[in-house]
Amino acid sequence: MKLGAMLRVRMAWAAHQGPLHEVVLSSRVRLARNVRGLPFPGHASGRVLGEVLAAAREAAAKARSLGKAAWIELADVDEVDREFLIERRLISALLAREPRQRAVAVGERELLSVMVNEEDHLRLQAVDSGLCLEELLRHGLALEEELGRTIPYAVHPRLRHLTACPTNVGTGLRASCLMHLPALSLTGRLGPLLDELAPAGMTARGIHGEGTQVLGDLYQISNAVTLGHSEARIVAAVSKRVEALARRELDARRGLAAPGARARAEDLVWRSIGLLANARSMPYAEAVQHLSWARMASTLGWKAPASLAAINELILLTQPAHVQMLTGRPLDPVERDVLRAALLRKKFS
Amino acid sequence: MPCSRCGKAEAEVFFKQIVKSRVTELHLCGDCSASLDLLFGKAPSSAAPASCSACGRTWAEFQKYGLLGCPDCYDAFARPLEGVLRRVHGTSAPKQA
Repeated sequence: MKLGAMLRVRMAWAAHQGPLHEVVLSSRVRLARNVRGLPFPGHASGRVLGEVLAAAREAAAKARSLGKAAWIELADVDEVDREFLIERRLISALLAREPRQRAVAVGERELLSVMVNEEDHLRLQAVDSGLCLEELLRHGLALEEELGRTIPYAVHPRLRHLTACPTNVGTGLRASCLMHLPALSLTGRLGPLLDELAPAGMTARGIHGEGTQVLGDLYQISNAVTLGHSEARIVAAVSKRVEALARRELDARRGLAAPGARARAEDLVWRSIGLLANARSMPYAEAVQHLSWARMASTLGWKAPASLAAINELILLTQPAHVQMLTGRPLDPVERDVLRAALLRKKFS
Repeated sequence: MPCSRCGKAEAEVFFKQIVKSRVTELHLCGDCSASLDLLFGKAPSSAAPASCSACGRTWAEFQKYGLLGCPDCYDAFARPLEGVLRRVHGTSAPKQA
């Protein structure tokens, strides 16, 4: 466990600021890029992966937009560190699964990062709080341009950026927003709204992306189509859809706070706060569900014992690897649940 | 995660299919993914070379894993990929806007 110092970093995306931050916890832009003339990571030899790693390290060190970046080779850190990086959304589960010749460069405030030798040679990421995809696209493309000064990208004259999976070809862009949608979910209006995403070329997933479970009514909304439209158009379409969904959620929250409906919502919120303030053991999935109600109450101005900033932080800090980092040692699941509950009591009582 | 078709073996292959903009995700074991013609369709033998001359990846491997071997695969398998791109993105070429 070498990465404990990262707990002190004020992560850009966990802050409570930015447009529509009451609903949009964070925005993220990811660009997939590959090195011209080399096999993609899943089909490459150790020697080729090593070459890419060295080139990426050199390019990242020169990239001004990354600032004083941390370079983390995944084979040099243990399993808890790797899980910790996944929870901070700096690497994917895929990158952690095969740590040899894999790395991540992490820029200041964890706003910009680059995964090396995941499904593609480079996965550039820009993340910040609130709805800010346009700004993040600018950051991502600036970093892409800087890395491109020393790394020649695989570009097709007709298709543009080539990726290992054809689902990412063209722009290589995934623009996503992490949204908190408890009121739409509670009132049964969320399902039909999510069904409208697919025809618009978008998709909804759990907090850690493809194949992950939805916890605490936190949904990642992103584009599913990467070919056929410009980066700007994809980002504008996702932003527009996310903004519309966020406004519906805020309306639904106001509806829950109205006389008549309020008693039911208050009961849910205060039962959750009661458990957060008193439980002696709590698994993460349960903690996020209660934090979700407390978060909604906080955005409605109800007097919850913890602030919106504290609740955002707890959603991050109570994850399994973060609890282990905070205690400085590996813990079994039972110990983790006990320590998580203690952490929550401290903030809620 | 168990295979979403047979429910017995562990899923090894993850398919995401977008047909007329509707997204379907499937998790399949090796046998079911090989026997089903779900996402990529069978490439007519005249349409695709057996393998990419740059990296050696075969079209059958692509059908199994969903991943190409290298940038040159896009030219080697250009014709069968056209159908894949149309199914996934609704187009096989970018149009700027």
